[in-house]
Amino acid sequence: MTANTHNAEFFDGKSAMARLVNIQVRRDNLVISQNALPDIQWPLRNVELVSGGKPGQALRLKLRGDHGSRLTLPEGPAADTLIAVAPSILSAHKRRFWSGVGIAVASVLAIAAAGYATMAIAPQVLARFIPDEVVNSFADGLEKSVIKSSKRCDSPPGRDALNKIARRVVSGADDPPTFSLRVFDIRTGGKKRLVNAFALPGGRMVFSAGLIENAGSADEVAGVMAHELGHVAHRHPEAAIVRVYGMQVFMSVFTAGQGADTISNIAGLLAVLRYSRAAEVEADAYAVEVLDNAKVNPKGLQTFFRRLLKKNTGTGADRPGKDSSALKKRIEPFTDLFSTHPGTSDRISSIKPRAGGTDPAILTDQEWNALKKICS
Amino acid sequence: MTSSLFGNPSPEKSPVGAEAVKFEYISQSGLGAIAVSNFFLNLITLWIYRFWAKTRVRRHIWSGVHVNGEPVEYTGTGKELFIGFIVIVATVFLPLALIGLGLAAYYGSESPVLIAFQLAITFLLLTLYGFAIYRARRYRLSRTVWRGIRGALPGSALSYSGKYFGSMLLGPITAGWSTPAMNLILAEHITNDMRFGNTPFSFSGRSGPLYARYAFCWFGTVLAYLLVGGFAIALFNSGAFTELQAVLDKLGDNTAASDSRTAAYVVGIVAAVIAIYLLYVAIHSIVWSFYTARELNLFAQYTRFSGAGFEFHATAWSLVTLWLGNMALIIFTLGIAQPFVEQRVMRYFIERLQVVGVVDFASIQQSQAQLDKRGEGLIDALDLDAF
Repeated sequence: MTANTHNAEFFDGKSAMARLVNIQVRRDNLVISQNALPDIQWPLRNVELVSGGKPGQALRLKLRGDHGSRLTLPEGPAADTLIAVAPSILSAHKRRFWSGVGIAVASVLAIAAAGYATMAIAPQVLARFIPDEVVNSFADGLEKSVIKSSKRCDSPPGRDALNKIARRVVSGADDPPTFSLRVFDIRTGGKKRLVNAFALPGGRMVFSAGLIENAGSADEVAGVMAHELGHVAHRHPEAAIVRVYGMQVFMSVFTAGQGADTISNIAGLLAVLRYSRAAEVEADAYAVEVLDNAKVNPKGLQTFFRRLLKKNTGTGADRPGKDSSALKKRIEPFTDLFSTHPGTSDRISSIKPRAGGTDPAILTDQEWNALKKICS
Repeated sequence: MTSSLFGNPSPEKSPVGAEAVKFEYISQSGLGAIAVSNFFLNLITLWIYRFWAKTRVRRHIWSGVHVNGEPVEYTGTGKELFIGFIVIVATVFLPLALIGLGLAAYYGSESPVLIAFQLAITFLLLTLYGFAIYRARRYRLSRTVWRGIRGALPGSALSYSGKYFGSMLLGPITAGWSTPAMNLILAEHITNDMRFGNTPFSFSGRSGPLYARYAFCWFGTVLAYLLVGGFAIALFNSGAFTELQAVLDKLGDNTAASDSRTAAYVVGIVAAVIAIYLLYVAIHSIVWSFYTARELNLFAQYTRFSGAGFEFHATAWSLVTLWLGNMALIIFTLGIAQPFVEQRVMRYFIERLQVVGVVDFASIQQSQAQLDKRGEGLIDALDLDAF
């Protein structure tokens, strides 16, 4: 290359005028010489490909970090020599591609982690900080959708009997949460009595009349009550509120705001009130401990579950070797309380009889009969 | 040695470096690989890769545009678009979502307070449309480089957004008749703000010449609807529907269940709805392409840059075939060929654009407009992205 031959075209980034220049590689620099102007030096390691570099194409180059200057080498010996000396010029765009893929993949992982934290960890932690107004507003809406226009069952003798059970259950709890308990004659669409119990936010417990009707003893009612008290004590309903919030915020962020106008809290909350397996296990453990302390036979809870299973599957208790999820599937249409208890058969078998022997009965026969007639 | 090195001599070179300007689109290989890899990377990243995907496509398509033999370069990055998106979500959509959820929790999801809030959000988002369009145009211009000089749009996005919102309000009020006038106002505003380097584009003209064509298309649409409606009524009266019903009944009888008969009805109704929608889209696209062609050509005539004028040669038929080809590409590849659609549009515009007169490129200096560090968050979030 002689100094007088122009072998490249240069745009200086200041004007759109094309300048004919001579380029040379001197040590680690690309030197751009212009007529009557000082040389420009581009360190080779900062030279990037704009386009070209394939046979039949001109080589277009820029300096990293420089928004304007461009150098164009026609296909030919000068371009070939430059590529031979600094092959890294051709690989810059590959680096750019992989950094893009890397950031995108990392973001997906970050979103997944944020989603997990939103759904699994944060709700339980934040549950205690929800203002009472919010808890009550949710509880009102939920209560309405659970009870609908059902009749309240509140005969004074029945209520007294229920309170007696409640006192006995609470006596077994170390630090019992405040809760209210009401019975409603809730019916399914086909007018059949629903067998269910709900722990709503704010410690509002609702039993269906069908549950009391189907219970064989006060121990069974106490068992269900202790289980629901477990949900209340662990703030599972409040955690569900946070989860609904988290889900909606998450959705609206992920869909860039398009989920923001579809706020349907009650429907969402009903969906997540189906507690997780972990929550059910927690409530069960709480129930067994409380019942044990209160000298109530924990077998009552077991008997109730077993009775429900029998009623719904016609098979009696869990058959050994039968997959518990298949079992669950069969009771699923029945109630949400029990169908959301995953692995019902596992749980039944995990409840051990009380070691202390016979317990004092919770209710007299008379009181038990009054409870049975709470709806009349 | 004064002639260009690269086989793009400028025959009308005037003494002081003024050149004629020639646009060309030269396809580069590799778009197929970009389309396919973008599609899969989008899938596995739940569409978060879209910012980088878009960037790769633009980089490729821009590089096919040649002005006087020198390719145009896209210098934007996926990271800038990604950050733009994150910033908009964090500053606009996340707070709005949180406020909405808070109001819903305190007042209940059917309270008037919440409804008022949602109306306010809708209104706010509508006013942001023009803003988003303007900012996106600014980002793209500032990332478009030719001969080392970049474009710019240094005006106020807010005042454009006001006009845009006005045009959205006037459209339905005037049954569409404000469209030519408002389109002209919007084009005038944004074109007058546009720069290549430090040199402005200018736009001046009246919307009057558009109205004959607009009236033709407006009444054409009404006529098309009347014809389709009349045809449907005639079809209904002729008993074709009873026949269809009989056919559907038969379909149902084959499986001997009233459920499947209902299913057949549902399928029939869904098919009819899809057919009506396609008909609607087809009528609009075909009839209104006459107007669009006129508007494109006229607005090009109204535009000037550094002493040169523009001509655009759109025709209704070419727009219809462009649109049909694009639809086919999208439908038959399930969207994977989207980059080719964008390339077809770019090629259409470049190949039909002519510059009349000469431009003294040596006198064009680099843009002094500040380079934004991020871009297009709003237009992506509002899902307005056309390109």
